[in-house]
Amino acid sequence: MKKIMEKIDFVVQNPYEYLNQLSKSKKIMGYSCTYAPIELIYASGFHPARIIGLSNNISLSDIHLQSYACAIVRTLLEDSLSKKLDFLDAFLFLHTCDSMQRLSDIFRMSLSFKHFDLILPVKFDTHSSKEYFVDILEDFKTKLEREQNIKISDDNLSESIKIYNTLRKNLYHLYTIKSNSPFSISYADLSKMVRASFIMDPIEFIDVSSEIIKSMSLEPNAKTKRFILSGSVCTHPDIFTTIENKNASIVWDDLCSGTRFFDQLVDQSIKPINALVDRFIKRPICPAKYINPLYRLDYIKKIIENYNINGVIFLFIKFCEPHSFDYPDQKNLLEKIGIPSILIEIENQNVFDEQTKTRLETFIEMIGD
Amino acid sequence: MENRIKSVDKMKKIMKKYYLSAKYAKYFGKKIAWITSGGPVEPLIAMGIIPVYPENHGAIIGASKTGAKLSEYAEGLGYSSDICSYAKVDITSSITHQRPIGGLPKPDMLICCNNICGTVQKWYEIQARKFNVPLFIYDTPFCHVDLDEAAKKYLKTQTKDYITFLEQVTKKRLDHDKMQEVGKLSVKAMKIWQAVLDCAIEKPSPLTAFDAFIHLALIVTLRGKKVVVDYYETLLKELKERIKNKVPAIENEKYRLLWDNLPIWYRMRWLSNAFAKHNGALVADTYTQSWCSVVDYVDEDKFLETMGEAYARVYLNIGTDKMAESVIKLIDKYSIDGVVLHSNRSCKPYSFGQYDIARIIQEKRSIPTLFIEADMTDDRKFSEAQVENRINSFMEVIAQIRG
Amino acid sequence: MFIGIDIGSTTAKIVLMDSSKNIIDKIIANVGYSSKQVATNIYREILARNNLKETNIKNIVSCGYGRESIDFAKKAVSEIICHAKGVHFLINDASTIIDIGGQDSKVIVLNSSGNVVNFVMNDKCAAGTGRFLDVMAKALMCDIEEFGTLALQSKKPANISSMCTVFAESEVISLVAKSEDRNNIIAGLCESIAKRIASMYKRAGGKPKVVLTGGVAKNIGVLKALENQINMPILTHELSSFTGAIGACIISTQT
Repeated sequence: MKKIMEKIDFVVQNPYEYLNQLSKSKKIMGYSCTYAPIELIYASGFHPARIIGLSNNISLSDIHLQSYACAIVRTLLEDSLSKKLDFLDAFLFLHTCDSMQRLSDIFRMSLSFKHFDLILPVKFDTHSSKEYFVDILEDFKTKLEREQNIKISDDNLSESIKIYNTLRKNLYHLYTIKSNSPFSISYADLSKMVRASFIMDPIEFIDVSSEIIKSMSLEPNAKTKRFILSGSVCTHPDIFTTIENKNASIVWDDLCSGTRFFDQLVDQSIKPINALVDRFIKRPICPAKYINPLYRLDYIKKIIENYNINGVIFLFIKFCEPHSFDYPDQKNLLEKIGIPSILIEIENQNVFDEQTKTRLETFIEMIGD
Repeated sequence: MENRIKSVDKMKKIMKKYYLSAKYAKYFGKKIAWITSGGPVEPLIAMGIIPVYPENHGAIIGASKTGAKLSEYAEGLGYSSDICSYAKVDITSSITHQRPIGGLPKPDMLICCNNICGTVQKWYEIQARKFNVPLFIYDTPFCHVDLDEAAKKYLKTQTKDYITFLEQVTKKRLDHDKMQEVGKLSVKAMKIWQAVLDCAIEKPSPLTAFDAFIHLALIVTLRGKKVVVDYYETLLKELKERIKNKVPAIENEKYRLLWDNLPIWYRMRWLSNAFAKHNGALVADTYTQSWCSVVDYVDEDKFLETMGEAYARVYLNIGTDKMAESVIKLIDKYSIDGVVLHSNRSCKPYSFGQYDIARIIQEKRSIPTLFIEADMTDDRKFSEAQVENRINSFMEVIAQIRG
Repeated sequence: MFIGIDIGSTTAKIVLMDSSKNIIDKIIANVGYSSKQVATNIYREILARNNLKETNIKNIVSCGYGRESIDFAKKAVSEIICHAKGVHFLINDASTIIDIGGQDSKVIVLNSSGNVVNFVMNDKCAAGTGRFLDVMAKALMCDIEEFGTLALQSKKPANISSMCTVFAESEVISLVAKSEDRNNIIAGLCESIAKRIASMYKRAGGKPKVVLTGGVAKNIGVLKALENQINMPILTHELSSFTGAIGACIISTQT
């Protein structure tokens, strides 16, 4: 497995190099979050790539944004301004939170990528919002057709959906293996797989991930504390190794850089655009979106029950409002049902400091056996 | 030196009556809706539902200098120190019912319009859980460059959904004639409010942005009621008298300034004096303009059908470049010598983009800009010495440019 | 004779000029606890050194943090205006001034007549002031005077990512614990401060010629890092600590 992971390691450590290489044969459309309709982008001939900023030192971003913006926004801006993303032909912004919304304006005003905005509905619970969602995807499809000078048929889209469904199935399979048999794969490797899937050509990723799944041997179940991570983007491998080195396993997550990306498949039996919308409504919600006031509480309770969780680690990026607002009621719920939890705020997803390490280790040790 | 506007006493009486009517709503068989400051209040007025504004409450808390204390309490519950202070003080006062006004009356429903920000969605989710009452989200798609047909359709459908929601909660039908009347009064109020703000075109101005902040309360909270139209007509009359008699708001107005972002509620007088000391008057601002600038998008004869688009085009729901265009227009209209930008930690949609707006102001009009970092309600985020130092420097630069 | 006095947060400067704007004398002293006391002391000293009485002084203008408390000054002017005047006097084609003081940093843009057209000051929570370097010098057990030369000896500046002085200090301590070369850490700190300033420079619309003033101007490590960041040569002047006082003095000759 180590050998096959080499390809994944390369992509995760050098995503921009990989994409630069790919850009020589295919146009690349960067996107800001997992609500991007990647099946549609792929069907139009663009390669969709989720760009999560890699800078651990931010300064150019300060020309356009105050320091109280989150690192997701600032590192993305930083990488763009440092000309690290010049391999991109286009960038797609999805409407999620206020900071991303204003970042879209900065990109549109100051950078030279072809700019696309998909103004998603904020609520997913009404007929009107679902109709609007379908309308804007149809409009986006028309824009892509115009840009690429092609026609995207329902069949093209269905093909694309099949590919990404397979990609998602593989990720889901890996996570299920982890949950059932935590020592079979490290969470650090799982996280790498998801991040690689954001970047790699999907067919290439399916091949690599299928091989990995085939080659995996299920480790016998030994005693381990079962944790979930909850937050938006959490990618620093040291976070995962710190936790899993202490007789604890991260057996599931509620992360944007995790299950929220691949949970739920697109229904291939209905009209493709409508199927895409259905999936977005079905999949675990990002806190910047609304279904009902209790959703985020019900959801965390559900995964705690389904995956037999002993503790929750909330890992937030500093200045993230959608996640911060949910936290107190989530914490109260967890206290009520007797599940220990901790909140750790990190300044930048690319930086791991002593404070974070100490807090994680202390929490896990506190849980006891 | 300030010359006080007299009409404000009348407004305080109107607001007091309104707060009392909200407090005792149950005795009059009326329902209460908590609504966001940019929300479509006219249907509530038409249906006799009393609108209550947690943000307006936040401003009062800020002005009474209790913002820090109430924010700290919320932080003790686990709310991050970095999130919006309006939300924190509201969450606290819903629990503790403390001063300045003993908290807000309980809502029967929550109306959340996200044209001002996405934070309100999270805030109202919390209150929906707490009070266990129905929540309606009026989702105004963000208008980076323009509103497309899909968005316009979505807004129209949501208006229908909104009315259905209100009818379900109140178990009453909307009287469309009353709605017509309320719509016309709302448009009239917005036009008079614009006329009030336009008095600041005069040199010297009979009112400052701080006066406008105080007088904002009525157009925000009770837009659509006749009392709002009547009051602003009174105010307009007083301002026109001042213009005739050459009574300025700031005695030695020499330099005219524009304020951007929400007010710093707990330091309004201090700020006014800090600028007045240098013969500076804040004659206009981008915040109070928001409650009249979209009046051209609404058809007063078809208010309900057209209001969606107007609500989606408010100042905070448009692209940064469009905001900059708006600021340039204000600079020209009010003969502005310098722009003061409040970099407000609580309000990302308003604050992010200010750096580019400042750059555009420099490029297009070559006037200096000053950034004041603070928070609208939480005085822990305000450093008096630092701010005073910057204001002094800024005013001296203007004096040196203007002579 | 005319006097300009600049009371900063760490040092106080006084300049004596004649009516033809020739600099006759100057003094710099540490502020300590009482800025008012230091101001009085250096005022008395400059008079004594030049055989002058208070009646020989036609006008006194003060600037800087403590300017309002100088009761013997006839006028107090903001240091932004004074620095601009002072720099323009010393380098008359200067267009941008970068001033990194003890407590704050600023970028000032001038027009060709030496008048200020725009300025940007440091944001809260931005490690871009002299205080930042003082704290770090202490943490690294080295003299702030040698900071600059040590920085230049580094071939691989360490990466300091924190925006906040306190957290950056933790980072430095961590690096020391990992046996990172001290010169690399120092160079990393200079780069960190340079990056903060560079974005202020870009926000202000800075353009050549660029002049560096303030206590940190003597730190060659920061100077080089800054030149690198804005991709432009940066001028200093031997009298750069006195630009505020010189500017105040010039203003005193004009009113």
